Amino acid sequence: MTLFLLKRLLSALLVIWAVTTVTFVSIHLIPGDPFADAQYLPAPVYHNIRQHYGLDQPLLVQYFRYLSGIAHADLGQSLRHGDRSVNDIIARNFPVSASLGMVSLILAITAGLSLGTIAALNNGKLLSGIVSGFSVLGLAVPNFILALVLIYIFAEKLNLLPAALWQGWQSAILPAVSLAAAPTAYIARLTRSSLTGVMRQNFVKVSRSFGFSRTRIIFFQALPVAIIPVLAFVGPLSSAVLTGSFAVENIFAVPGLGKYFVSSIYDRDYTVVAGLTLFYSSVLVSINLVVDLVCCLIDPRTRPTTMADGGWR
Amino acid sequence: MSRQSSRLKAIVLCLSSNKLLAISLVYLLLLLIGATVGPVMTTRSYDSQHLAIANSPPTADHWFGTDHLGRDLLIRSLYGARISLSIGLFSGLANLLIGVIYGGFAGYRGGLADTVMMALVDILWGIPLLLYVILFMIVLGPGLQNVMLTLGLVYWLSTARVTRAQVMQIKSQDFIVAARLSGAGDLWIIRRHILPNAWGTILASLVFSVPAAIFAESFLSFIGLGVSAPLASWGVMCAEGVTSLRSHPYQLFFPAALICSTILSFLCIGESLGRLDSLTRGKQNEQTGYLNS
Repeated sequence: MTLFLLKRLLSALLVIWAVTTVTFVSIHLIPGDPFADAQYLPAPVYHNIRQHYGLDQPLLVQYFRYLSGIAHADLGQSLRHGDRSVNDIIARNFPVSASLGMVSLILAITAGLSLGTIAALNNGKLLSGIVSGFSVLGLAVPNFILALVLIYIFAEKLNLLPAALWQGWQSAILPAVSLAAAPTAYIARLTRSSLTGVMRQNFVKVSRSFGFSRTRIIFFQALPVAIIPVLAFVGPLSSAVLTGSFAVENIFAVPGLGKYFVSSIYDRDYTVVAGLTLFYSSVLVSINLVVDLVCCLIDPRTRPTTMADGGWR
Repeated sequence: MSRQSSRLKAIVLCLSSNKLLAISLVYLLLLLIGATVGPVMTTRSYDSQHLAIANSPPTADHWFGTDHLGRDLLIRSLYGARISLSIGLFSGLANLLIGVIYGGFAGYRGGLADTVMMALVDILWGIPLLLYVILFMIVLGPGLQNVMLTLGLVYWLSTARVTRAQVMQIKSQDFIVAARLSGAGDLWIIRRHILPNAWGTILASLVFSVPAAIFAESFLSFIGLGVSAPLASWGVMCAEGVTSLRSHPYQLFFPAALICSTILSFLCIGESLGRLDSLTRGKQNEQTGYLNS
C-alpha cells in the first residue's frame, strides 16, 4: 500500500514535470517575438524588456529558471498585463471557476446516479428507454450549444433566469446545467450498466431469498458496489467540466479562470496560457490521485497486490 | 457470388431489425453526398456576399436563410459538412493508425516495453487533451490542416488501450501458440491471425473517435482557434450565430442542429454495434457457461 502510494505520487510528479516541459517547449516554438509590436521601441528599451523577462538567456538557463519557479509555485508573469503574475490571476479567478465546477460536479453525480438507478431498476420498460434516450442526446449535444439553447429558452423567451454575469445563485444555474449535461448522461449510462450487472450477482439473490426488501437491497447492498466505476469516472468528469468551462464561462460571461484562459489565447499572452495549462493539469493530476486512493480504500479489488495487469492505474 | 449475396442479405436483415442504425447510416450517407455534390450543384459560393439580402430568414430561395453578410447558410452548412466530416474522418483514421500501431506493439511485445508504453498512455490519460490541442493550435496557428494534424496526433489513447487489450487477449489463445509452434514469424501471426480477429473491436473505436474529433473541431472553432475566416465549419457558424441569437436565432439553429445530429448518428451507430457485439459475445458466454457446467 505504501509502495503503491509512493509509486502514484512519483508518477504524478513525473506528469507535472512532463507537462512543464511541454508547455515550456511550446511557448518557445511559437513563431515570432512576444514583443512583436516592440519593434517601434528604441533598441535599449527593447533589450531591457527582454532582459526583464529573462529572454536574453540561453534556452537551457531559461528552462531551469522556469522549472525552479514552478518548484516554488511561481508560474511567471503575464506578458500583456504589466506586472500581474499568473499566480494573481489564478487567485482572483479560480474561486469562481471552482465553485461553478463543484456545483456542476455535484449536479452531474446526483442526477446521473439517480437517472441511472431509475433506468436500471426499470430495465426494458419505457422509463429506462426514456433515460437512455436522454443520455445519448446529452452526449451528442456539445456544451456550448446547450448553453446557447438554454439562454435562448430560459433567458430570452421565458425570462426566468439571467443570461449572463455572476450575481447570486440564479446566475449559476444555466452554466452549471450546461456543464453538467454530458457528464450526467455519461454517469447515468455507467450507473445503469454497472447496477444491472450487480443486481444479477449471487449476493443479491441471496439477500432477496433472505427476504430483505427491494429498496434495502438496492440502496444498502447493490448501489455501494455499483458506484465504484462511477467514482473512478470522477477524474475524466472533472476534466470534462474544466475544459467545458472555457466555452461556457465565455458564453455566460462568468468571470472565472476559463474565460481568462480563452481571452489570454486571444491576447497571445503565452506565459499565462502555459501557466494556466500547467495549473489545470496539476489540479487534475491531484484529483486523479485522490480518486485512485479513495477507490483503493473502498474497493479491495483495485488494490495493487491484485492488479496483475500492469498495475499502474 | 452466393457468399456475397448471403452477406448482403445478412446486412439488410440487420439493418431492418435495427432502425436506429439504419436511420443513422442513411443520414450520414445523405450528409456525405450533400457535402461532396451539393456545393458543385449551385453557382453560389460559401463566401459570396449579398448585403441586400443580409439576415434573411429561411425562404424558398435560401432554405437555411442568410447570415449578416448575406451569405447563403445552406451552402455554408454544406461546406461546413465537408470540413467537419473530413476533419472527423482524417483525424479518426490518424488516431486509428497511431493507436493500433502503438497499442498493438505494446500488447504483442508485452513485458517491459508494454509496461513503459502503457504507463505513458496512463499519464497522458489523466490530463485533459483539449488543453494540449489548444496549446498546439497556438503554436501551429489556426487553419484546416493544423486542426486535422493536431486532432489526429492527440486522440489516439483510447484506441491504443482497446487494441492492446484485444491483442493481449488474442495472443494468449491456443491457436497463436499453434501457429508459433509451426514456425510462423511475428509479422505473419500479426497479419494473418491477430489483426483479422481484433479488427471488429478496433473499428468500433473509430465510430467514437470520429464524433470526438468533430466535437473538438467545433469547440476549437467556437473559441476561435479552428479553421480561419472565410472558411465555414459548423463551429465557426455557431460562433457567428451567437452574435445574432436574439434577432436571428435560425443562424445558430442550423449549424448547431447539424453538429448534434451528426454526433448523434455516430453515437447511435456505435451503440448498435456495441449491442450487436455484446449479443454475439453473450451467445459465446452462454456456450462456455454451458460447457463449464
